[in-house]
Amino acid sequence: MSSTPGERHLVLHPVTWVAWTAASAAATMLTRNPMYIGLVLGIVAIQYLLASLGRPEASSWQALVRIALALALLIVPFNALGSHAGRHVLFWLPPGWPVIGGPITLEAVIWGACGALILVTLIVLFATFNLQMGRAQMLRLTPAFVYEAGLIISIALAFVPQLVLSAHEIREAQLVRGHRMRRIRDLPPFLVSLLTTSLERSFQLAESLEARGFGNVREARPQSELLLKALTLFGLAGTLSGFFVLTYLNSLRAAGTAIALLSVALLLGVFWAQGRRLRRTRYRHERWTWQDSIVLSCAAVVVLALILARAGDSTVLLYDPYYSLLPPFHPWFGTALLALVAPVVLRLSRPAHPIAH
Amino acid sequence: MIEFDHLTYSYPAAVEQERPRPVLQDISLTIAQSSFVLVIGPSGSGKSTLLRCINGLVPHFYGGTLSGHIRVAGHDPITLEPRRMSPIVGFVFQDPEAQAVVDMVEDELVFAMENHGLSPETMRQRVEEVLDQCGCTHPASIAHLRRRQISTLSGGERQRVAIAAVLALHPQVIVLDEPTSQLDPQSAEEVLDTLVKLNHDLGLTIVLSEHRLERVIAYIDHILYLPGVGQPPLFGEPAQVLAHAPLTPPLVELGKRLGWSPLPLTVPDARRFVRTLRMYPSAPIATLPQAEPGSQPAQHTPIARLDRATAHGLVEAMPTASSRMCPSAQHAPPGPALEIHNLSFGYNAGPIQKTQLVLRGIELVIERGETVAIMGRNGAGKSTLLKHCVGLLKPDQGQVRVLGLDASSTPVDRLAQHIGYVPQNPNALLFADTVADELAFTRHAKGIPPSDDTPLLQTLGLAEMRQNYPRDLSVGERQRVALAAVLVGDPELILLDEPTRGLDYVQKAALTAFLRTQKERHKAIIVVTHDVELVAQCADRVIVLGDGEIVADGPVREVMSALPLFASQINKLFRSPQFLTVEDVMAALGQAEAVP
Repeated sequence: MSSTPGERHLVLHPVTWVAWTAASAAATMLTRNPMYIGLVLGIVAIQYLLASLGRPEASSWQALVRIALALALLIVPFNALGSHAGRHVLFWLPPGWPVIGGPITLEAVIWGACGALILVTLIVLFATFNLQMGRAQMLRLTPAFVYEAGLIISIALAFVPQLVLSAHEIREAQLVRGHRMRRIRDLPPFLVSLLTTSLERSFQLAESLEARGFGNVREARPQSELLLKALTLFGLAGTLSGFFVLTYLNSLRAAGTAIALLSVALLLGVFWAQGRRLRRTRYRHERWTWQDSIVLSCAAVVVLALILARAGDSTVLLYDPYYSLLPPFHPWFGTALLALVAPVVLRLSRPAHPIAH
Repeated sequence: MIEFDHLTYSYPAAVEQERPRPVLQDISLTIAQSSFVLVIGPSGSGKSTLLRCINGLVPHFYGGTLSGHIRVAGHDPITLEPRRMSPIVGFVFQDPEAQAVVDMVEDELVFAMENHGLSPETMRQRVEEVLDQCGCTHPASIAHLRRRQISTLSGGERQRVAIAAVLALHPQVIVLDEPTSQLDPQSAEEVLDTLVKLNHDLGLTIVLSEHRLERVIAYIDHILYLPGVGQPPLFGEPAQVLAHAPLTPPLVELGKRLGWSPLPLTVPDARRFVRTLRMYPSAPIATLPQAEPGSQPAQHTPIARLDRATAHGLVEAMPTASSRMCPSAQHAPPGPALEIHNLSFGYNAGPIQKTQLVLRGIELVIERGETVAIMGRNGAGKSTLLKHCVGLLKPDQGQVRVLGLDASSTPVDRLAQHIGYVPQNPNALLFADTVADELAFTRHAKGIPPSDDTPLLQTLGLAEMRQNYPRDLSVGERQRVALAAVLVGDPELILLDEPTRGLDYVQKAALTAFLRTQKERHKAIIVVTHDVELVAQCADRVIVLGDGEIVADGPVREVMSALPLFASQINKLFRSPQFLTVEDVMAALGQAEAVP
């Protein structure tokens, strides 16, 4: 058996991945400039390809990326046909038509294309995040009191590739029965079978979880249960009223802030207490390596650049095709964005591991 | 160690029924510590239910009504929930794919320990311990699997990881519900080796339920036979219980019919009885009607000596199985059922990787009326080959012609008009509310005019279940419903992918009988299977695939005798192509008796 390519993957602390992903997402969403977004997309795409090497579950994420591309192609005509402002006219549709009549302008197409680019980047980023993190690591990031919910969500995410496999199996089986899916009416046999199979599988998994002592909470006295529940309600009510006061009653700002902060503190206290009740220990303690520091600092650089761009010269992030077609490019910002390439560089610069047995 | 005291249980009633039937009735028995117990019985006899009682899953997870007492290692699973029983009883389920909770093997091993709040140092020690214990002397231990993703492991490795995961809590009992039914023989071997090692080295009590006894029968101390509600269970030494149980592997069946005592459980045990058998070498083998299972064991004494040299001489004189079963030649439409020329195929692995070839240069011709079995190790490409035959996969290179149609250019539903294909997982087919609806659906999809389904349902033994919901039925019945659903319209070519997974001996015999009737009607049947006994009973021809190429292709008797890995129990015992099944031996003995 050859060595798994997984052994050559770059393994970083989950916090590092979260920071990197957050920085990339922020850079994508805070600007509409296709040059910067294109840069981020290029880096994220390379990282996605590297992360999907040797991982069989990458195929289900590939399906998602393909769906994203299809959606993106839909956005462009949607925007082009809907918005009619702009100076460069490509062609005219009869003005009598209800929504889409009028000039179809280049600016509208470009605006739509920018939006599509953002969408594709975000989805590829999401797929990369999932491939790199692995469910177990994501679970470790969830706080103790929502551990069970976090586990359920992670299992649900794990069911996605299973679902894709089952769907494939079912489609094949139905196809060989002579059943082609041409109309919506042909969908129920496929969906019913898929749903039932998924339910059966989740039932088996639930049994397995139960048999292994999942959810082994320490017994609490009913009074403390009640107290915690009451405090949770109280805390939530306090937070909501605090925010209400802040938003609508400007004269009572100080009081509103105080109430909100106190209630949030109360909620956090309740959550911590509930977390302690769950008698779980952690096996794995991720170590912080020098690679983590590099990637984290690069992410920090990007965030800093974003803050500077927002707070300082506010034209750095702006791009309005209706104003000027050519997107501006500020070299210092572009270079700062290049810092996102850190994980790619670290991964490619590692020597190949010998075949381990 | 484990005591049941007048245990009676029934599942919660369905809405229409008034009183639920009990699944377990008045069971009382004691299982000693450190024993290795096998639980057998027909489908629906309550084996799974009884095993889940040890853990507390019944009644806590399933509901229902339970009366009686259970004690496991001094604890009562009825008062303690399964969560609290988990450090005492470890449970391994049947489906290797539906048990793992997290990605990586190491995380799976510590999952249960984390939930019980053990300290990290203890967890680390136990992980090392458990990885060693579950790596047996078999070369593929699981220690090197530590950082692998569970989704990349084979079925056998996954089951061993599941065993390791429950072992991490240091239980006193391990209960396994059909752990090897979804596995191929090599993986099943690995899992059973692990269990035997755990039983011998650590003294763990192991309670196992299985349908295919021949794999496991050599290692067990006791058998518990559950015949079903209304009959008392049998518990005792293997040879004693099997003498009374109707479902037995072929070797034990032979022993019962020939009156061998003590009943041999393994091939080495049976060899010393074989030496006493004497059969006339010159008697020709004529056709005899099939002996019904459960008939009285033959009381005659053997009268002639079997001469090995002359036995080989008999091989050439022996008629082939197909003419034995199909005396009258049917009118056959021209052309072979399946022709494959130089087929090569590989799956696309990912955006940057190149494809790995799964099938290389396959050449194959199958005529109508032949029953062919395709065997081989897991991953050799058997299911892939079958999918090519039905057009679900298109070859990268080479040509596939099915019933005269080119499989790569004809759309699948047109090909499917003449083919019945039952996939590995028959659940993928079933979706309708009743059995009759399933058949009607296929009729509608294939464009066949509606007609009476009763003869088909009767052949498959499903006539009373016409209005039942298919997913409520047992595994064997579901499989037969899937068969019925694809055989509507009487296809010329029948393709079966692993049809005997999870079937008990009775259901397997029913399937075998059905395949024989189809063969008599001159249909071509291709079966992909690991089950050598099924092959010995039904097939004329065996094709063995290895690493994507055809390694052996010939009549079933030749291939089985040449490749002991794929030989049936009777064949292993006699090492002669003349004997593949119990019926062969009885025929030879019966003939020997007829000669004056």
